[in-house]
Amino acid sequence: MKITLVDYGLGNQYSVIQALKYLGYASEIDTDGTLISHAEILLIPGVAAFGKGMQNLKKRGQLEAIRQFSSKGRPLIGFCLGAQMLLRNSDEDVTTGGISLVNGEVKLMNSEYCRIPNQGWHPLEIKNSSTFSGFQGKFFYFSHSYRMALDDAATPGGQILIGNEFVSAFFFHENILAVQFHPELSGNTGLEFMDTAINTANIWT
Amino acid sequence: MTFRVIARLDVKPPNLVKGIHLEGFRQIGNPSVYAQSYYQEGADEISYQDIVASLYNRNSMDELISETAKSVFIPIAVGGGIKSGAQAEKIVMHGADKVCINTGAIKNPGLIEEIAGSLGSQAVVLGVEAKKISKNVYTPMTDCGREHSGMDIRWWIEKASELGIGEIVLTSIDQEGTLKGFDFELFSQVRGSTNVPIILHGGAGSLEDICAAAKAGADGVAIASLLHFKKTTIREIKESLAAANIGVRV
Repeated sequence: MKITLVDYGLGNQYSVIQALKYLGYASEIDTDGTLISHAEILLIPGVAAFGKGMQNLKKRGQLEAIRQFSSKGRPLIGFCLGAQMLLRNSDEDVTTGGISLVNGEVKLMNSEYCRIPNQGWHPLEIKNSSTFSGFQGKFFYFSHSYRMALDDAATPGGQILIGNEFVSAFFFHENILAVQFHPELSGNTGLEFMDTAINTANIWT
Repeated sequence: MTFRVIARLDVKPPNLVKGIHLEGFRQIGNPSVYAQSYYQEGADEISYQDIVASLYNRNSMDELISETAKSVFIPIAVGGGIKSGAQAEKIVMHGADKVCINTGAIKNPGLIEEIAGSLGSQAVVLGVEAKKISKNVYTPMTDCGREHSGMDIRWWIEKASELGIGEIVLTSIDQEGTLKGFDFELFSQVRGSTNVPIILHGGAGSLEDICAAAKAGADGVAIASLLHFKKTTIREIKESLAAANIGVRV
């Protein structure tokens, strides 16, 4: 199984590639959209700002290629900014829309409950998922000021509790898995999560 | 939110070093090996600081970062001599997750917005090296504790927070390397000037010091001497925090 990573000139591919290597997965890097159409599994990593990330995807011809890829129902995974860009738009940059493959928006975190950015480790609460049920209560590393807010709040996945509010940690819908935390930075637990996500790609329940 | 226990490694490439009051650095060993072992023991982050980057105007951490990122799967923060967005991006390309800026930001506060604009503010750590200049008055120093900035720390923290930093690593120059405890008056002034997470660094001499930092409201600690000189381990630190009912990642 080969994972195709979308390199949009920012993001931290290096850590993700090292994690995939460690787990024994082959990977390739797309920098201009040409590898995307033949990809088995597409992964969009992310350490960047929404506006710049989307700009780069457009400039590199990757934006359309990602939409085409997803329309065929092939597994598409996003980490952190890579996950957020899959939604319609983001408070982080209101002038630039997202890839719009998932019905939802990216909103600024609520500073009443949470230091912004939300930077640190949180234990997951798994919601309606048997594939990921083994990660209930395990700690993952988060680093974000914005959170994913889906139109359908019952979408399965996981969440974390910050103050009185539940914040989406990850969700899956059809062929898409969007992960707010950084599995590649969450130690052994994170590596296991990546392994599970990839091994059960497109059959997440 | 769990309290973070961060392993802090001062590097004079290619060696791990440790000083007192940011001077007199002794060589300790291979930083990547130490980082690996702290990761295995449960450290929440690795923080590398190149202590000669500003002095020699060079960046030679790339190999160390890449080497570390091959087998250390927790966040890696890198600081030392970062003066531009391009440098910050290069560091992240090599495997770092956050960049730590101090001198660069004081001399050019626009650097904060520049880096936050491309990497997001959660990737921007403000390194603050504070010196006490009189009772209850602190100033941020530059160039690894050598030069005065002429500013009051509260003013600088407020300004940097407005410009978009993601968190602060607050070092007490007077305490660091002494194992005599953190400076809580300093912490309190900085806490009152910003809403971003604050990691305390400099002076931890015992497990009690670390628990005190958590109880005072710090979001984490960066530990160097206690770990490098093997006076305690990450495991012991986390066990003592958990025993004091402080939430840590297990």
